[in-house]
Formats: sequence, structure tokens, C-alpha cells
Amino acid sequence: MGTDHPLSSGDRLWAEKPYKESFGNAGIVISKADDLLNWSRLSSLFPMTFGLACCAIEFMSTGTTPYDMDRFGMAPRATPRQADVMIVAGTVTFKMADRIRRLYEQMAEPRYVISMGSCSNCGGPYWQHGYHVLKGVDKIIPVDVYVPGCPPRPEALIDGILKLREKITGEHILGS
Amino acid sequence: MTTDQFLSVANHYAGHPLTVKNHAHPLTLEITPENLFALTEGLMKDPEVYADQLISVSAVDLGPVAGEMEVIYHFNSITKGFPFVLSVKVPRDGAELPSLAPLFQSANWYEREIFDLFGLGFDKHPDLRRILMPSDWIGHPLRKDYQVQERYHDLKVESESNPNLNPPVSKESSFSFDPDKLFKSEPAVFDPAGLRVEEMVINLGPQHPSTHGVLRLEVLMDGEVVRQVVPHIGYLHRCFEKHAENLPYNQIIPFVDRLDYVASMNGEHAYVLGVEKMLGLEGALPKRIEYIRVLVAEMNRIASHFIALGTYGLDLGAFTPMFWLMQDREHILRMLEWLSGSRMLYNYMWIGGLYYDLPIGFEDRVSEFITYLNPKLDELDTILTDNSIFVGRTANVGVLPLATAINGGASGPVLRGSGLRYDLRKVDAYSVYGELDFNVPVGEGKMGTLGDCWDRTWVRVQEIRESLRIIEQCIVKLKGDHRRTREFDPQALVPGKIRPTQQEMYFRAEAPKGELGFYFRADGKTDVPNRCKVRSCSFSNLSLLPEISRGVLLADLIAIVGSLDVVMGEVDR
Repeated sequence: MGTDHPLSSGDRLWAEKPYKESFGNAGIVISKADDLLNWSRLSSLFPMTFGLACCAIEFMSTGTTPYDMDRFGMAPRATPRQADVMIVAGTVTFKMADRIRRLYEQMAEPRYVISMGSCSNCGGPYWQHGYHVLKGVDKIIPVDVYVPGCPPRPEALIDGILKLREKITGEHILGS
Repeated sequence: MTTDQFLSVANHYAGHPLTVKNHAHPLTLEITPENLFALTEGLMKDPEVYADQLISVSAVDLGPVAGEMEVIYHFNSITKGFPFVLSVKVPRDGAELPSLAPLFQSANWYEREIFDLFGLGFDKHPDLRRILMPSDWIGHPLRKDYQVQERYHDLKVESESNPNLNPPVSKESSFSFDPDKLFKSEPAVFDPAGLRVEEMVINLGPQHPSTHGVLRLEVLMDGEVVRQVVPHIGYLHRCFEKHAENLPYNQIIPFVDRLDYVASMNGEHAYVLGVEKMLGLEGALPKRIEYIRVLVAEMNRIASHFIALGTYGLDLGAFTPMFWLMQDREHILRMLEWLSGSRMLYNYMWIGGLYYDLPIGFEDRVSEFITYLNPKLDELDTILTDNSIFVGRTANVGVLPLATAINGGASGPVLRGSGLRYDLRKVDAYSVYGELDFNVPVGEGKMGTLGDCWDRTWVRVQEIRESLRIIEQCIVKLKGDHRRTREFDPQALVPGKIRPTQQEMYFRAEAPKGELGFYFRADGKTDVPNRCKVRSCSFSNLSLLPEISRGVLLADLIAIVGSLDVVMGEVDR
């Protein structure tokens, strides 16, 4: 693949590819180790099945046939130990908050959080009178990507996932 | 049975003439706390009244000035078709009512809810703990003078006047996670020290894929056999009733959507019909509006049953039905999105009308969908309901006897799966259901014992077929007698200010999961309800879980939870 490849370096797809150059037909690809690791990590983000409320149903839609999350290499895992990304889909209450934090701590690093829907972003419609609703999951765990909507469409969630992939592209896992 | 006959029976058991409350629907009797237990027991066993179901228990705080609370017991006599209400007034502080749990199993959770949210005690209650709020929460949120506490654990409780008290955490900031606090918020019921050698406790949830949301089950096991199950709920308590006390009637509809979020149209339908009944608009709406409402509600019922069946298959290890059903559900969602602009939470039905008329061509699309779906349902039977593995996992499992179902307040497919032909669409014939021809499928014990998990699932599959029949009839009406006209305005009767006269109202409707009821109390002065209580079907159905899962295997417990088809948004409200 020469340098005049139709995908220019500014393109998102190009940015997700680890190789910068390749030589003829010899099958040799030169890349930075960081890029290769990032590419492999972002191509198989295992989300934790973490359905809290309404958004979880849209998360289910995203995961099954109509939107097919599998094409991003994402297969839901039921345990935090095997998951890379926690998609907080729904309203976070005080009773649930400690549990969410515990599950987050059980995930292996590097770990990511997508906050899906208005409720987990900021309390959503329950902001004003919701005495038992935590106003945003970012008060207890660090959030990487916020997806707005009540509930967000599956396309919006997929866009959030792509944003997270972009974010992972720029990381230096082997140290700076 | 007439009102007079009922009153004479009630007066007999009370020992003195009882007062009938004005402006209350259905018939409401004012009684004293001393009378409550004897009167209830009498009415329950009396052959003329035979009040066999305690549908709901609500409480109303009359405020610190009045210093009283009112507890309202909604009863129903299934055989006599006679719903009635008993209303008891007690002092706000230090009062105790006799618990009705010895008579009605459904009273157990209702009374716990009142204890939790109002701080009212119940004498001789078997298990009086908080149910929705965390155990270490301070105060009772639905009291009128409730002040929310400043901190909960290490988080500040933010409010409207004090937003953004907690800074967002970052990856670098260290966590102060204290596991002790976790267990304080919902302590375990079983003490490990008190267990026998062969017993152990397994904790299921609140994060577990087969609990259908954030349900936590504490299971006492003897090897592989379940000895006892204690459900812990409240992980999704989103304070619906507090919101309803603070918002005008029309602004509550979006919150109603979010109760049972897989069947929003059905929730809206029950809610708007209830408010319209208070406003005296019942039956005054154009038939086209009513037919559109029934059409979309039935479409949503199918979508809800698809989720129930799909996730149930997933629980039992069948992956394919989930994929097929989600695909078919997507067709319904896209049609409803075309209609209302939203995929799941529609806010489509308004009090006194609709957001908008059907889009042009909608009826044809629905007809196409029916033609497409009918053969698909036969496929569903082949792959799921008649599949021998599925039958093996569900037949004779989780048998719910009819008497327990009625006494425990079950409704919907859970009640019909036990063999009782009881559907509020037929019993009350609200909206235009009286003009439509459909059957009410009931469990027959085809594959095993009557009332097992297979029967409940089968009832749901048959209900999809019946819903399709209703939709077909609605389409015929909407294309014929009540067709679209240029003059038709679905918002013509929407009241500018929704202010019902002073009254109490309980309205019930058949949601996909059972009897969804709204208890309203309007003071006639404001357009905000004084109290709005939801009688949620999933809540009552779930309260039967400990009863029917005693002595089953752990894998069967998952099958039983799935067959009850609970939505936690509605359980916790």
C-alpha cells in the first residue's frame, strides 16, 4: 500500500489503523508498538452488560440484530473482570451508586466508561425532584464519553463507541 | 351486587353504620383503625361480597397542620365484579395500623412501601423493613414536610437550589471505597452465623443479566436447591410519586412513560384515561382518537411481549429468539417513531387528545406489518414455545396456584397463566375495547401443571395474536367509519388548564404486565395532583416470587423470574 492510498491520514479509519508504511509484497508492516496495541484494544472493546433502566433496552437493541454491535468487535460480558468498557445505561440511584463504584473497581485496567443517556449524564428528567437519584454517574466514576438523549438512539450509542475508539487511538500505553 | 347490598354487609361487620366518602371513586368507606382488620376479614370471607383481592394500598399525608395520615385500601371482588375502597385516618406520628398481611399476601410489600415512604408502622407485620429506599436513609420522602438529608455516605445530595455539590471524579483521583457502606445500604437478611452446615447464601444481582434490570435476590441454598428467596428492590427508585406531586397533570405523562419503559403507550393510555375521567371527559372524545389510542397501545403491547419472550429465551439459553424478536420489534418501534418522533418513550397521548393524527400511510404500513408478522408467530412457536428444550425447562416449573395468585395480587399474564379468564379490557371495557372482538387466552396446563412458567409464556404468545386481531379491527375502523378528515383536530379537546374538581379516583387498565392503576387525589384548587400513586403490576407480580420458588433448583429460579416478566422501572417507580 503506497502513500497515495485513498484514505488520507486525516481520515478516522486511517487513524484507527496501526500501520504507517508497508513495503511491497514482502508482508512487512512498520508501526509503533503503541499504535498496534491501541488498535487491537479498540477493535475488541468488551462492554459489561450493565442495564439500569430504559437506556438498557436501547443498549439491547444496539447489541442485537437491528444494529449489531458485534461488528465493532464488541461482545457483552456479564462480569466486570472480563470487560473493558462499562456502558452505564440508565438512572443511577444512591442505592445503586456504591455498587456501580464497586463494579468499576473490579474491572481490569485500562478501563473506560460510557455514560449513556441524560440520567447518567446529569440526572436527566429526575433532576429536580429526584431525591434518590444521583445527578450524574461522573460523581462516582470517571466518564470517558457522554452520550446525550433520553434514551439515546442506538446510532447515538454507536457514535459514542466510535468516539471512545478515537480516544483510545491517541493513548500511550507503554509510557510516554 | 348493588351499593346498598354492599353497605348493609359492611355495616354488619363494622357493627355500626359506616360513612360513604363523597367525591370518591370507586365506592369508599371511612372506617376506624380498630375496625380495619375485623371488617376486612369479614368482607373477605362473606359469601355475598367475597373481596378476594387487595389491589393496592396507598397513603396520603394530610400535612403537619392536620396532623393526620390517610391510608387507603383498594379491594376488588373478582367473582362479584365489585371494587371498593376502605379509608382509614391515623395520626401522623407514632400510630400503628394492624397489618393485613395475615389475610392478603399482597399486603406484605404494600405495607412495607408505606412504612418506607411515610413512616407508618404496621402491627404484626411479618417483615417490616424499608423496601425502596436504602436502609440507612433518613426520613420518609413522601411526607409533605420532608427535607432531604444533606449527605448520603460520602456523596452530597444535590437539589434544585444546590446543584453541582459533588465535583466529577477523574481517573487520577483516588477512590474512597468502603465496602462496609455498601452492605449498610441494604443489609443481608440471612445471617451467615445462623446457617446450618449444608446451607449457603448466594447473592444474585443487582447487576446480573438474567434479573431483567436491577433486581437483587438473596437466595438461601441447600446444595442446588433453593430454600428461600428474598428479593431486594429499590435500586431504580426514581421518585415518580414525588414528581407527580410537584408537576401539573400534563407534565407527568413523560414520567409515566418511564415507569414501564418497554410499554410506554399502555402506561400513557391508563394515565390519560384516568385524568380524563376526573375531568368528566370520559366518552366525550371523538371515536377516532380512541381507536388510534387502542391501536398504538396494542402495538406497544406486542413490542413489550417481544422483549419478554426474547429475554426469557436468553435466560434459558436460547439465543436465536432474542435476535428474531428484536428485529421484529424494530418494525414496531420505527412505526411508532414515525407517529410520535420517539423510539421508546413517546409522550404521544395527551389528556383530552393526541399529540398528532396518524401520519398519512400509517394504516397501510400497519396492515403490511400484520401480514408479515402472522407467519412469524408460527416460527416463534416452533423455535421457542414448542421447542422441547424450552418445554423441558419451563413445564412444571414455578407453579403458581390460582388461589395464591389472586391472594397475592397477581394480574395480567401471570394471573391468566394460572387459569383465570380475567382481563380488564373485558371486565371494565374501558376506551373502545367493548366494541372490539378479541379473546382472552388463559393457561390450560398443556405441557405440565396449570400455572407453570410455560403457561405464562404461552399466554403471552397468544396475546400477541389477539393484539394483532385488535389492530386489524382498529385499522378497518380508522379507514372506514372514523377515517381521516381535513377537519379532524386531535388536540381540539385538550383542556387549556387541567384542574379536576376535588375528588379521589382510582383508575385501572390492562398493561402488558397486568393491572396498571393510578390513584389520584385532586384538591380542586391547583392543576397539580395532591397525590398520585401507581399501582404497579410488576411490583405485585414480583412479590409472589418467594412463594413460588421454594424448593426449586437454582437454574429454575432464573426461569421463574423471567416468566414473571418484571420491569424494574415499574417495580421501583
